[in-house]
Amino acid sequence: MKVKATLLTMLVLLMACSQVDEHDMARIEESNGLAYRLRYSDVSASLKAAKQALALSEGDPDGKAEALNNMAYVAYQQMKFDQSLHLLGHVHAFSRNQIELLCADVLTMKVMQRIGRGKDFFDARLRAGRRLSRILSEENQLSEHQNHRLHYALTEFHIVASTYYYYLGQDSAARSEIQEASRYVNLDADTTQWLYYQYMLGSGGLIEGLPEEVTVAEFNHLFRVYTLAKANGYKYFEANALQSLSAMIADSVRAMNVLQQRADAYAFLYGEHLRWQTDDLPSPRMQFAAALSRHSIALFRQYNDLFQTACALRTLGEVYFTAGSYHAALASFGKALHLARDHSRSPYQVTPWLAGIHENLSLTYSALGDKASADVHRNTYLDLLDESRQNKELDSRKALLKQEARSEQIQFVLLLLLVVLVAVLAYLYGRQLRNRSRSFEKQVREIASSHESRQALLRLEQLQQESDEHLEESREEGEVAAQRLLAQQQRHILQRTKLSVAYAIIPYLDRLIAEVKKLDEMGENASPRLSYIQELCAGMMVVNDRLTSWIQMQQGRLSLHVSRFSLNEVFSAVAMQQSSFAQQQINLEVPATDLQIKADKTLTLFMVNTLLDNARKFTPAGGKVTIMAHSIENYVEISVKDTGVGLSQADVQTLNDSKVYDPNRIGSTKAGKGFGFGIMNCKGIINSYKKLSALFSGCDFGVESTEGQGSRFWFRLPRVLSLLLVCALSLSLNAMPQRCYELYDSTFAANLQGRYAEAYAFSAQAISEVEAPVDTPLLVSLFNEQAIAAQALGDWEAYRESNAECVRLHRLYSTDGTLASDCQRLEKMTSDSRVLYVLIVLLLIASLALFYRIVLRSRLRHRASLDDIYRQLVAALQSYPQSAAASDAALQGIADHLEQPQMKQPVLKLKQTLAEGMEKVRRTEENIREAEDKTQRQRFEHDRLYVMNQILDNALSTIKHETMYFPSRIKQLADEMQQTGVDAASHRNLLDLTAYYRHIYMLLYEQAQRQTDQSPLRLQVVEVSRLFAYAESNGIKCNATNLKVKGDEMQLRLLIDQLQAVAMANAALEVEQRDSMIYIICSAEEQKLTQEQLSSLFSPQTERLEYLVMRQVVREHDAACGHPGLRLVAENTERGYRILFSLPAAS
Amino acid sequence: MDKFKVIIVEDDKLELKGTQQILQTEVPEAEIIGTAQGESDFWKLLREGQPDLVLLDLGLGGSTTVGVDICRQLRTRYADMKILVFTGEILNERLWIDVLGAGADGIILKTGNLLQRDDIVQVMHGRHLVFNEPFLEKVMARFRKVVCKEQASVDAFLEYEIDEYDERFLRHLALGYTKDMIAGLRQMPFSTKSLEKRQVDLTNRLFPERERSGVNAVRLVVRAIQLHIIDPDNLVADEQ
Repeated sequence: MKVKATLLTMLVLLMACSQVDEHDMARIEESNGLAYRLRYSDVSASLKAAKQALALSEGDPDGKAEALNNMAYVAYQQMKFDQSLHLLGHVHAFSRNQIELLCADVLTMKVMQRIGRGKDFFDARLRAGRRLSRILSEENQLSEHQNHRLHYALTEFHIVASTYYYYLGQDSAARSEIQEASRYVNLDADTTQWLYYQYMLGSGGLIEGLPEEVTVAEFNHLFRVYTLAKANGYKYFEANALQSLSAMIADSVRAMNVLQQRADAYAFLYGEHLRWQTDDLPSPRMQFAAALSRHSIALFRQYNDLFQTACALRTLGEVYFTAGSYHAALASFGKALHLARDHSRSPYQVTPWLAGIHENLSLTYSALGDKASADVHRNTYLDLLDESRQNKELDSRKALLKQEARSEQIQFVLLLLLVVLVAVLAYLYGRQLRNRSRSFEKQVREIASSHESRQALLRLEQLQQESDEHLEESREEGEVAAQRLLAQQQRHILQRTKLSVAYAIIPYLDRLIAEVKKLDEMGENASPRLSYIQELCAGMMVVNDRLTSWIQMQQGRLSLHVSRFSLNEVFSAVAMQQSSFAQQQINLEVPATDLQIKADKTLTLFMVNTLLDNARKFTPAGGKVTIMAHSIENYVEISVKDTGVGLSQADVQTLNDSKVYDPNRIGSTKAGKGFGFGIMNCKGIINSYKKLSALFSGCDFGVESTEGQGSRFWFRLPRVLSLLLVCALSLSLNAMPQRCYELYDSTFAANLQGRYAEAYAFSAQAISEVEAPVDTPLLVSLFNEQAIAAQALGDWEAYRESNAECVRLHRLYSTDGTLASDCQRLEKMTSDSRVLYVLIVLLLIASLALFYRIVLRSRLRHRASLDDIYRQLVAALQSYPQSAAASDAALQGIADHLEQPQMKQPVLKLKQTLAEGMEKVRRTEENIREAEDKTQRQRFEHDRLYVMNQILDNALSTIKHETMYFPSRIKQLADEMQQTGVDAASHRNLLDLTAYYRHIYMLLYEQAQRQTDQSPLRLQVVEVSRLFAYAESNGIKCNATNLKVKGDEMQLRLLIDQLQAVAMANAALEVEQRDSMIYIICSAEEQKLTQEQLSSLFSPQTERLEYLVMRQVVREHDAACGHPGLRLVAENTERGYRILFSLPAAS
Repeated sequence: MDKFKVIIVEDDKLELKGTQQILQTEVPEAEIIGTAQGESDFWKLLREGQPDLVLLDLGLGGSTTVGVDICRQLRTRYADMKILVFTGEILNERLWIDVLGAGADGIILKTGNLLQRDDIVQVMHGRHLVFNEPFLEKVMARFRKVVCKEQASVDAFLEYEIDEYDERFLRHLALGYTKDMIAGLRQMPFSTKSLEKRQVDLTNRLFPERERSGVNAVRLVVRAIQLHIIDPDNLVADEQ
């Protein structure tokens, strides 16, 4: 507002300062009026008047501006566009007269439209529009002259815009502009502007309706222009009307319409132009059309308008062309182009106009058969089209800009509203911020009951539950493992018991050998010795019988744990030994396998390990041991191959065929290492598979070896078939057709070689196959080629169609966004009113900044920090308990950061709750780990014991099989010697037999003995009451006690089981302490035992294994406690007998 | 040898008979005043008459090492009584020590040649530590092992050219001394630097070339123990 006021003041001052008197003013006005009126009838006179006005207007800037405007108009009419623009620039530079400035703007628009500078046209139009709305707001203050000038500028403004749109082919926009103009034109006020308006309507494109009606309406407008212009001497409009009429008459259809509806006017015109009819054209109508053009040309020449002369010449050419008089047409077009070329020296080209002439020339040359010239002009035509395309794009922008110009005032109001709105919003936002901060604070205070913390706690609870369950599972698993281990431990005690029975043979054997040796010395007094030998044999036979029956007792019990498993499990367990092999510089190769077998996994692992141990023993550094598996029919053969010292043929035979051999004699004696019982144990295991079921009948064990090169030990176990699914992937490929491009190439080639008919056909085919939005450039090229072909063929209809399509698509495709920024610049253009806007906006910004600085910033910061804290809180809670430690630290960090205790406390409390929960989980997890470790250890021990027990079974069975026969045979020999007497041969025989017996027995016993290297006992303090509770649950009466013993509770339970098994009726347990020993006494009111029974109750000859198991348990305890001489005694009592055993007392 | 009274304690009937026969045929001086198959029988028998010699089996019935206890009690009560222990516990060497500690005059292993007249004679003449041949064979095997080990140590010193400083260095390394600490010993006139050099030198001497890489102090000490250069049973630090 302030700026505007300043401007107005300046204007007033300028006017006050002028020293022009009123007389001069009138003369200036008169000259200017003359120049204005003459501009459409005589350019030169108009220019003269304008110059006169200019000369007078030294002290009158308004008059000067008007004069300059008039001069610029003349320059425009003479196509001196640069001069015109220069003059207009001058006006803009010095004048403050808004109306003259508006006139200058409008004329600038006109010039820019003519020379095809769309962007500059817009600039001018925008300027003019703004100026216009400002002037119209003060319309009532204007003088008559000023009103007149305003009327001119207003009508001109819309008509020029309409022309602009018309030439761009935007008919609707053109129509709406002319509609605007119609509101202001007035025949009485300004005849020239009325003529201009009428002519615009008549020259085509601005009237809607049926073609006949439009033609007639246009004819009417033109006829009106012609008659009025002629009457008033406005040559310019007279000529223009004639030119348009000529084009109309040249069109046979339109001419017919006019003839039918306005026969009178037609006849009048025809009559008037008879004298112009000089051509020899086929029809009178064409003669008439040509005459109209000639008249038009003549008028334009008089008027001295180069541009319009050229236009009229072009119209004449077109008339000739339509009439088929091509040479005449060529001459006309040539003249038009010549005028254009004259003009083209100026920097401003009239592009669309030039393009049209070139197209006309191209067509005419083509019609005359001069293909080369036709092509030259066509190419020029296309190039010019390309230049003028930006007009089109700007046009689309123009609508927007116009709208903007119109809504400036609305914008101002809106801006004010916006200010209020922003203020209100800022206030609301500030309030909301405060509320939000409060709600954040509340959220932080109540974090414990938030969704996130509930979720976190829930997850923690879940985790606790899961780990509890896991612990439960682990414990259950541990329980199972413990049970299984216990079973194996107890079984091992049984095995050791049996082994002790087997051992009982050995002292007899020694005595036997000693007796047999002494037999020789005795001579005839051999009888008592022989009978002692017989007795010893009988004793051994009793022991053998016991052993046999106990071994048989266990047969039929499935002691192998057969399952199906992947061999790779065993192989990968074995592969862990690679590093220990590497330490000895032996390369252990364990290739992966996908075979599955059905066998005892523990024993299979044991066998593989045994074979690997052997291989390692006999392979020197730098050697290689390979473990392999491959399937043979329904079995898998697992073999261990080494590059070691190898075995002799004899050794291989022994290993493969003999059941019993001395393993220490197998293998390299040089190495000083025996072969051990490993192979024998493996063979024993394979045999026990075979005994188990027919499924394992193909199980086998074997050795292959070459001395010095290495050995291969193998065994076979049943295979399990597994299925593999193979998925095949298919790929499909799509090839894009290149046919359209091929067709375009064909079209182009055909056009080049003059085969136009073919080219037309090719292009038509290609066009039908192209996908429009995708391949627009191709389509443009195709239509162009098609137009060229049609032109060459002389098919003008087809040419027009193709060319129109080509131009349309060309414009469509060439639309690009490069002008967007230009238009933005347009919008940003400074203007007076905009300064005001800027001030308001600046004020707004400043107040907003102040508001921000004073109120918002602190609130925002507070909010942001709260927001941040809350986000951190939520993040910490959400990552709970996955990254509990990090979350814990984050919570502590947040609590440290918070100052208000009412916010700090809940966070700390939450943190503590979570940490406590986590600690619980951690403890549970520790327990799980412990339980798992324990389970692992128990499994390991179980496996070890299981293998031992299994091998002991095999070994004891072998002892039984291989040695049972000897005692009876020796006894038989002794019997014979008793009868026949001792001779050297029979003595030798007996000696050999007993020696061999001992050798075999010791060998097999040693194999078995190797499996019992360690006591399976775990000593602990056992409350006797616990043992008694166990006994009571088995139906044995016990008295109360609080004594404690050192022992293995599980094995002691085994002992109690044995007591129960020998089923002492009414058995009762008592306990008493003697010195450092606790005696547990089991007494029974049964018949007393004989002395014989009592003394052999715990000897291998005893009838029940249970007594021996009791002895074994006590014996194990004795050994484990360091041989304190623990007792196990049976003795008669007054009412029956009792068994008592002692254990070390524990404090 | 004068006549003497014997009690045989043996739970196995057949073995008892065998022992009786040996005494009867080979030691006519012996008068068997009784036999017992269990502990209580034996104490009862002892009350009836005191023998000069007790042939005691270690295991009786279910009580497999009760003989040690009996032996101890006998020795406390009858200091002059001769006790010869029988045992089938060929592998349980710890029991042998126990029973000798309990006061037995000798041990007869129930294997090979069993009881000989000579063994009885020696015991009756008051000799202690009377063992039969199988027992002595076992003891000899043990003895040979120990002696060989000591010899191996001497050999190793010669073969690997170990001097007293090497031994001292290795021994203190085994005791967990750092090189600085070893360098501070009175009898080690070397700097830490030269001890480091000595370690490298020792590694080169004790390990074949292809095993040398990655040998640290622990491995070196273990190697020295394996080669009997230092004795793990006799690891004592020198005076500071």
